[in-house]
Amino acid sequence: MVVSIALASVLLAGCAAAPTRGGTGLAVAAGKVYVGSADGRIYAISPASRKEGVDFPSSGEWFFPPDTELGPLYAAPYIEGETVYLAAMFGQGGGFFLGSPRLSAYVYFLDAATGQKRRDAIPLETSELAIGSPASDRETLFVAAGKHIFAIGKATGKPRWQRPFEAEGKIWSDLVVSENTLYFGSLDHKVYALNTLTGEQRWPPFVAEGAVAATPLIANGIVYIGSFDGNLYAIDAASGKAVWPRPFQGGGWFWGKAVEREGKVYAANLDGKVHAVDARSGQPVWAQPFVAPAAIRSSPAMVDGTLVVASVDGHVYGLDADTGRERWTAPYILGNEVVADLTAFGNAVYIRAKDNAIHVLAADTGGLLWKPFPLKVPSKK
Amino acid sequence: MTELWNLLFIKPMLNSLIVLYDALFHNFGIAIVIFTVVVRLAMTPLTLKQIRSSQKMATMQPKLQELQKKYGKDKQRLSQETMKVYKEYGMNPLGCLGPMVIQMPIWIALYSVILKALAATPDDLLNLNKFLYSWPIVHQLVPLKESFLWLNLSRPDPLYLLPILVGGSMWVQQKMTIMPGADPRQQSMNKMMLWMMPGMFGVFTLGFASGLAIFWIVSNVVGIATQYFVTGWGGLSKTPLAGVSKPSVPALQAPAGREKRITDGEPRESKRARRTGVQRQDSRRSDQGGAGKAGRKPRRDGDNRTQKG
Repeated sequence: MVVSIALASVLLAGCAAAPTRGGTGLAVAAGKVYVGSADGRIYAISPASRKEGVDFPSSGEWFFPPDTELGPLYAAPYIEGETVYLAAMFGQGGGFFLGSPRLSAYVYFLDAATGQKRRDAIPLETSELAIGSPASDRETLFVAAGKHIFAIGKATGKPRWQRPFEAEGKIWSDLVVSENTLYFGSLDHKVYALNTLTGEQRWPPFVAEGAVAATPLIANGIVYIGSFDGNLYAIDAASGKAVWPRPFQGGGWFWGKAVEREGKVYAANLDGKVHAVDARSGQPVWAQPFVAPAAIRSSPAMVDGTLVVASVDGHVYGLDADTGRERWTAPYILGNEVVADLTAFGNAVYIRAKDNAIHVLAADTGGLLWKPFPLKVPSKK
Repeated sequence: MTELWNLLFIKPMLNSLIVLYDALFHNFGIAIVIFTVVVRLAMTPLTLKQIRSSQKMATMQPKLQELQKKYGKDKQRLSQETMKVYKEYGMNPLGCLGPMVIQMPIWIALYSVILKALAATPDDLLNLNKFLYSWPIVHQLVPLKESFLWLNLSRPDPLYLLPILVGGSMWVQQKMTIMPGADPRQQSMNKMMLWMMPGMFGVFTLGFASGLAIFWIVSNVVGIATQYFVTGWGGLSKTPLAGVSKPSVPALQAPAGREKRITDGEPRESKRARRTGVQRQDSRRSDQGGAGKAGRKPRRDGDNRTQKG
């Protein structure tokens, strides 16, 4: 009896818990879109080629690695100049009897034009997942993996701090650099600000009541960041003190990065609500929040007064930033879950859905700009 | 159906587990241990019923084998006589299924809940959110801390110790429950199950999160304790252990009205077999001293019953 129940529980749990492979948000630079795929590769896509429906990869398009695949990819690629920086897991071994391969975190430096490696991948000496996207200042690349922040010289590939910074919990937010300070949130309920030169904390960590997985938004000297306690916080970037008398209470988990426009901060949460608050006072600006029927996990995108949000059920909405009412005639239905952050470039909003395809919508109308492009290695002819 | 399953099993168990984690100083390993023990103990009445059904089945086996030999070719008659035996022993042919049917969803839910609570990736944590109650405490606690002793509870054991413990504890439990039967096919099946299933689960555990391995080990240990309470070491001991007294739960009695027939003129081994559901092998075993069964005098050297050589 024991054995049959044990077997049943393993089988059913196995059916229910399909392994997750990641898949990242997108980055847009120099007219190209870079995205990490659930098949363990990063793709560089030319919007012009995709719009024409040319076979992939066309000139200037590539995918990496060409002959193998990386581990689960969660951290969106970070592009600066002619280099793509990618934090990814890689490992070998494993199998049916040995279980999953043992993965380690690496940083890849790739040529943005060709996808070739600029140098050998730099091991981070940790098997913890790299989830947040890297950031950099002039000389240093900052990468988060597990609880640690690594500072790596862009030219040398060598550590820039005496030791990696260690938080008390995992770091899942993207890293943000502003005015020689590195900002990020951690699942230990804290928001940190580190001196980019030394890795020392600029102020005692700001403590929320729940885990902080959201990416900080820095605007006008204030750090705006949401937490799993359902609050949206405004923190003075220089001192680490709360700016608002009390945090804005939105109800559900805030996970995506907020966006700012004309003195207002917009943030969405897992209750499916989109809130607009005054950046200085934290008071709601809209008569009532916009409510989607499903949770909103991804960061919204702002294009010319249209706030584009996507709920996890694959519905995409275009809202008037001033009133919160829908601008599009109807929401666009992707037909697949959306958890990755939305990225805007010009009038185009790029969305990577759980079907591992890129969907591109016009921000002003919600219409499809080009046919969804599946992220997969082309079959050899 | 899924909603009902989540409402009745997953959500209550998951949120309770998280609250327990808070009460146990944010130690998820201990929370898994305690929660598993509590759930298993809550199911003890059903487990005991299951064990007793198995014992009764073992007691009936000789009778059923006799019938098989006698009426093997006449299926209808065999079926009728078999039902008579069941009735005689007060057994429902589907009786053992009831406890199993009730326990299985609880087991599966507990396994699934631990898997969900471990939430090691953003997708897992997003999924976990759907199952949380609106209690502020649970939202403030997730994600749960994964470290416990040398382990990361969301990853396999790097020392490979837990797979050995999973396989070993499962083997012990299997061994205790196996009733040696005269049927060679049954014996062969028992032997295969005894080694194959623990081996298989040990191998599975190599790739599973160590939190799940802890759940299995604790569950097996509770199962061993429950089994011992009813049957003693059962198939695990070849001879009665010194100083081990009969478990306090009364052994099965023969059906009412048949006691006189059983005790008159039948070999003592058969009587013993009927009481405990365990058939002794033909080779006599010497008593190690002490009372192997309550009410029987300890054997002494030179006792006629113990004949060797």
